[in-house]
Amino acid sequence: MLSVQKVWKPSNLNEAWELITSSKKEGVCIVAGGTWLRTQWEASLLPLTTNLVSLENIKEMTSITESKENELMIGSQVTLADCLEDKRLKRYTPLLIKACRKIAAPSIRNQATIGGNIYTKAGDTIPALLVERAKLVWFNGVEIEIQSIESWLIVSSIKQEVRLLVGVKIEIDEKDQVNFAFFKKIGRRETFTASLVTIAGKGSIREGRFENVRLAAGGSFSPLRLSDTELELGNQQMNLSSIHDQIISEIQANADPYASADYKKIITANIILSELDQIMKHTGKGVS
Amino acid sequence: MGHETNVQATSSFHLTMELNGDQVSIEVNPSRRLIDILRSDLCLTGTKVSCEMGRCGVCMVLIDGKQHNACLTMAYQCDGKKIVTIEGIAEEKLDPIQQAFLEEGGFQCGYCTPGMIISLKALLQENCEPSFEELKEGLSGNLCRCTGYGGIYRVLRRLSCPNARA
Repeated sequence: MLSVQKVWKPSNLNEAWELITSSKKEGVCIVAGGTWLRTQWEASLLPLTTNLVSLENIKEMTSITESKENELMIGSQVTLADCLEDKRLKRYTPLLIKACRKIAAPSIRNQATIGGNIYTKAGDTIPALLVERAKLVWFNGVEIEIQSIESWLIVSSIKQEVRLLVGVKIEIDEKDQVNFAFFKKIGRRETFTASLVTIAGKGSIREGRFENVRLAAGGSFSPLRLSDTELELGNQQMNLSSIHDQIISEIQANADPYASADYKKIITANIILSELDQIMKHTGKGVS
Repeated sequence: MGHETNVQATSSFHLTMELNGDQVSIEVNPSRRLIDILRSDLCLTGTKVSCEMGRCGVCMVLIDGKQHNACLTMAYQCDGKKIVTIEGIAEEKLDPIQQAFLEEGGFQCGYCTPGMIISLKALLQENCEPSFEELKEGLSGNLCRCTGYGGIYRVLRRLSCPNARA
């Protein structure tokens, strides 16, 4: 039987931090939309704590703002549905919009937050955010810290997070020399399903050569930026057949009850290759 | 807590919400699921319960006009909100969505039907002229294990025709 004694709604970051640190002994849990947490509690995979902390009243965590530094700041408590409705995100981060549209179903998107999706370390927004070179904004109890999502994914695999995720920043680059972008999610059925493989890519192609390509993959394995593959794509002697092998060697997938690690690697490589091939065909040069 | 903050703690949560047009006040645990409040505490059993993990959509309700899974929504998240369940969709005359399900045979056992009606209601409130594809996407969080979706697709085709939504 689940039970909880207290729910807290702090109005600013300092209050939230004070609550979290002072109630650690009793047990405390930060809840955003709660769509993922609730399933963990029901399945007894996580303990329900005495204190729940809802961050819904903290202004900077619940809004999307444009800063003077040409950055969009999405508060961690902004719902996926609100992301989908935001004109600035539609204009500047179409990959993130595609990712949000592919997560769960409308009812979940009305409640689930972008912060929650990031915090699971497996969310479908992560490959899109990696390609957008997004930065995470943290509150450590004293000050704000900025960290690239790429760096956080590496560090968080060995160190438990103790900071508050305030939001995610994406740079607006009007001059970004990009002429292609893609996002794909592969699941076990057409509608609402967990991802087997999620990929995102962005870059440009000129005279048959790829430039400034950014690739990321995730889904049912730890999301990562495919930096070596990106380098290989920029190579003058590059051919797509060698890229396939490069992707497979770069991904660290794990087997699960539904798919082997090899299957996930091959699917990821196939989808990325298919996307790149189509891009090349549009410019008159197919797979070599 | 022993700290001087403006934060309010509630051990026995007093939930106040508007439910199907009526004001409801009830003492509940703040983490109690809305589905349990509706079905067990308030005896409103039109909202069904099945997967309990937000996948099947049988527990769909409207919260401030938007569809939510009542199995994933907690009491404190409903405080001050307007909740509409299947019981509050229509009073004297059936809603056109309900009519469409009846006349097109959009159900067999009927267990998933309230959730589907709620999802479509939310969509039609936001988009009064949806296409078949938009309606289909709006039902992506609702599963049916009986019909094979044939009858449900007939409902969607009908609702995508302007004359049927009157």
